[in-house]
Formats: sequence, structure tokens, C-alpha cells
Amino acid sequence: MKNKFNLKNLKMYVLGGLCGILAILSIFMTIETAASGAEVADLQKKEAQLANQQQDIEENLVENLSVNSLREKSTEMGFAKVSNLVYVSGGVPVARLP
Amino acid sequence: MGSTLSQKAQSQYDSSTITAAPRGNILAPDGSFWVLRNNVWQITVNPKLIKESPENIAKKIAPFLVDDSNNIASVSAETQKINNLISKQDVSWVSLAQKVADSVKKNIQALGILGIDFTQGGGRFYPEASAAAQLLGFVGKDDGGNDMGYFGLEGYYNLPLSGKPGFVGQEKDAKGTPILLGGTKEVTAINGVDLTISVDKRIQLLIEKNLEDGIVKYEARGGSVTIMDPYTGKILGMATYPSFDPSKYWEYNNEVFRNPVISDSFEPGSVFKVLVMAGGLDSGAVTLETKCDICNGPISVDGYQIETWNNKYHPNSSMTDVIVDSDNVGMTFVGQKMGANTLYDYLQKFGIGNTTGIDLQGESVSPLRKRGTWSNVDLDTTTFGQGVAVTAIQMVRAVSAIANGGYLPFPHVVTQIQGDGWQENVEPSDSPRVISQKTAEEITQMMVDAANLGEAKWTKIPGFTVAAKTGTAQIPVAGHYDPTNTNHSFIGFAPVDHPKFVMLVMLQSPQSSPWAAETAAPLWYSIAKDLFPYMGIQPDR
Repeated sequence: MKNKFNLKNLKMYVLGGLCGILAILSIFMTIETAASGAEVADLQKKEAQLANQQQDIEENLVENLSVNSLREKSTEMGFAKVSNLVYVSGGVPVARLP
Repeated sequence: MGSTLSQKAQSQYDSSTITAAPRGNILAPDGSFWVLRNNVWQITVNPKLIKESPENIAKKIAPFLVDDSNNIASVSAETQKINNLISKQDVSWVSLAQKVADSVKKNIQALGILGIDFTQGGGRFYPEASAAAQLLGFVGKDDGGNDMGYFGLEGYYNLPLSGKPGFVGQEKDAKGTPILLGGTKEVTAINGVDLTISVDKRIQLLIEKNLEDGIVKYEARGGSVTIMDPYTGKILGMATYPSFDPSKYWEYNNEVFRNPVISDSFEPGSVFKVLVMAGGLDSGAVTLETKCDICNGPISVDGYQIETWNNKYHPNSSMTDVIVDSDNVGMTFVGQKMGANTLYDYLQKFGIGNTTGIDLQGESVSPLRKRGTWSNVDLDTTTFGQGVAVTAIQMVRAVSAIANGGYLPFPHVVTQIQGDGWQENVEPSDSPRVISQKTAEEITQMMVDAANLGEAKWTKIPGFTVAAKTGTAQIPVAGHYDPTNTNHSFIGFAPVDHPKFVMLVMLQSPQSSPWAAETAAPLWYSIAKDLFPYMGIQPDR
């Protein structure tokens, strides 16, 4: 009789304990998911910022490498357009072999 | 009751966002950018949230939103405009500026003004500024406020460039943080495709610079230069003047957006003679040995007098002489030998009267008079390019058929389309044969002689053989020809044995000279002089 009572009590304790653990886990899970949700939102924001920065860098690069921009820079550096092009006939040897 | 509350709760959780599809880029053959998508911002303000006076805010922001912050008048006007917008009390959302660059947005954001907000949007960046504006087109807004391409490539390829926006539906908490265990629905956005075009940046900038100089030098109203590969139909350059800045298209009149190369028809004048002569030779109506037996003076047709441009006459001219001398009476002789229907058929074969199908928005052409309805005068005047209207692109295409040995190419600009992880080359249809190889060679030689011995011989480049023809055309105005203005053109190709380009130079109403040989021709050669070394064309004599 006493054994039966002890067994019933034990089952209740285990069940109660399990319920307690589940409740605690559930609270942890909720906190964890909420935190992860915030983390995901933060990552999405960072991704958007990085994409914007990449776009800005690309635009900057394209602007600096444009033909118009290169032309201006080359003029500033003293390069000039060839004004009198001389064509050399293919038959004239440039250097003779010894 | 429960279900109603549940629905209300759900509507508070649910958050849906449209994900934008970035518009595609437009690239040059070397992989550099003609048009790059970029970040732009719309600046908005909620007048109910601002803490400072509207006037103060306007004074702080205005210098960032004008082109020149040192220009006191424009800063003052902008300040007034912003002040008026922010002072509206009965609204909770006002747009202050659109398409604002990222750097400007950062500067305004740094001011930390409460109530000002920024919304990201897609913009277009043009690294070569206004170059090729009419060919590229621009991106404006449709009636619904959405981005839409207008004119040129942006208009023609608007749908593939636009892509398809996506959608993300998520459950979020009160702070807007996503609930990971909640449901998520997502439709991925499809990015707009990138277009690679055949227009070479260096060629384009070269012809734009030369055209602008030519317009000033020859005091012309406007003009265009078109360069095409005669074998493939690829457009290598297309410059027009006047032009516009596609990044500020709203500052220009609508007329300037039209691309005259594909939209404006003109009476071609003498450049048209090479097409008629090609038809005459190919049909057998005339041969190289044929002599013009009516070329000894002006002729009268149905009461109209047909004369040569300089009132000089050359009895018994050969067909080559007719082209070299640009002889209107000689061309009338060719037309009469061909007959109206044969001439009509050859013009049709050369694509005159029909659109070329070029992949640019806004192509329009004038139809030919119906077959079988031509009068004698119609036939005769058409032979020397009067009473018939063509676009510059039609003319370039038709002369390309002479340059490449007889095949009519299909002009096109886009050579490759690239999407996410795929790419496809754009291959035009097979070119139909228009004239025989023999005819193409004969008419090419006539054009070589015209370049070497004709009125424009003074401007040719020593050592290089080119095939070319001048055209000085009267301008029809309200039923008669303008007595003072003419349109000038010069069309040609090089090298003659295997041409790398066909180029047409058009000048509207130049005032410095009445003849194309003194305006369009030297401009053509000044461009060719730079094109030869760039395209690897060597002197041949």
C-alpha cells in the first residue's frame, strides 16, 4: 500500500518536474527566438547597408574610370592627342640583322 | 467575437513589403558602363513631427539640393520652396526632393533634423554624362509613379530592364522585429537584365566632339553622325545635336528626346543617287558602258525643268561620270531606263519606305508612293533624291548593302542580354541579298571615283581609299522648297575592299556654305582621320 503511494507520488513529481522543465524551456525558447528575430532584423539591416556601400563604391569606381574622366586626367598629366600620324611602309626594314 | 479579435491581432502581426527589382545596367562592348543603376533617395518630411521652424530647416537643407550652392539666387529660391512645403499644416507627409544622390542624403541626415525621412529608390548614373543620350533614352515615371524607360534603349527594352518586383510577408512584433516562428511568404524579385551594346565609347565620344565642332564651324542648326558595321548591322556610334542630359531630362523640351537618326525623315538629295544607280546596274537597265544621250542640257518633264546642280552639262557621260558629277539629268536618264516599277522594287529591296527594325524606341519612316501610281516627274525627281524621304538609319543600312557585297543588314544596338546566371547573344536575322556582288563592286568603284574626283576631293585623306558620295538637298517647306536653306550629307565607307564602317554625316541648314562638299564632307573626313588608326585601318596607297 505504501509502495503504491510512493510510486504514485514519484510519478507526479516526475510529471510535475517535466512540466516545469518544459515551461522553463518554453520561456527560454521564446526569449531566444525573440532575440534571434532581433538578430535577423539587425543582419538584414547590415546586409542592406553593405549592399548600399557596395553600390556607392561601384559608382565611384565607374565615375573615376569613365572615358571622360580619364581624358581629363590624361590632359592634366600632359598627354596630348597625336596630331600628325606617320605610317611606315611594311617593306622598310627597321633594323637589319648582323 | 473571438474570430474578429483573432483577425485584428493577425493584421497587427502581418507585415508585407514589396522588394524592388533593380533595373538592369547598360554596358559598352569593353564591359564598361554606359548606364549604371545607383542608389537615390526621396526626402520626405512630416510637418507634424518637426521641432524647428520650417524656415530654419529650409535654410539648412536648401544648399544641398541645388546644383551650385554658391549661387545665392538658386539657394534662395530652393529655401523658399522648401519653406512653403514644410509650412503645410494639414498634411502629415510632404515630398521635398526626389532622386537625391547618396552623398547628399548623408549630408542632410547628418543634420539630425527630426521629422525628415529618406526612402530609397533606384536611379541611373551616366558615367559619360550626356553622351549617346538619344540612343540610351532615360528613365522617368509613368502615370502610377513607377519607373519607366522612355525613348532609345530604355524605352525599347523597358520590360526586360525593369525586372519584376518581389514580395515578403512576415509576422512582426510591436517593435517591428520579425517573429521567427511566425509564417513567412516570399516571392523573390527578378532583377532587370543587363544589356551589352555595340556602341563603342571612344567612337561615340569622338563623333560627338567632332559633330559639335562641325555644327559651330559650319553654323548648322543641328546634325547627326551614324556609324555602322556594314556586315553585322551593329551600330558603332550614333551622335545627334542638339542633345540632352538624361540625368536631368525634365529640364529639356520634349522635342530634343526624339532621335533624328531613326525618327526624322529628310529628302536625301544626291546621296540617294548611289541606290538608284545600283538598281539600274543590277537590273541591267544600264551598264558601265552605257552613255547618257540626254545629258547635253536641261530636260523638261511634264512642264518641270530638270537641271544639273551647277548648270554644267556633260554630253555622252558614262554612268561613272553621272555619279562623279552628281548629274541630275544623268540620273533622270537612268530612271527612265529603269521605269518607275523597277525603281520602286529596288528601293523596297534597299529597305526604303519600311522601318529598319532597329532596337530603339521611336523609329518612324515615310512610306514610298504606291507602286504603279508614280508620275513621270515622281520617277525623275526620285532618281536624284527629291520627292522621297528617308531616315539616316535607312540610308546607312542601304549603303551598307553596297559596302558588304549586296546584303541588306539589320541595324541593331544590343549584342548581348545578361540575367542572373545566364546570358544570351542577340543574333540578327540573315541579311537578304539586294544586289549582286558584281553590281556592289561596280557601284563601290563609282563611289571611290566620286570621292577622288568629285566636288569633295579637296578634303580627302591622302593614302586612304574611301567610297563616298555627297548630298546637298533642298528642304521642302509648305509645298515649295526653302530658297535659302539646304540639308547637307556625306555618306561613305572604308576600307573599300572589306569595309569596317559605313558613316553618314548629316548637317541641317549649314550657313557657312551651300554645298555639302564644303561642310559634311570635311566633317566626315575629320572623323575618319581618327577612326582609321583606332579601327586599325592602314593606308592602301
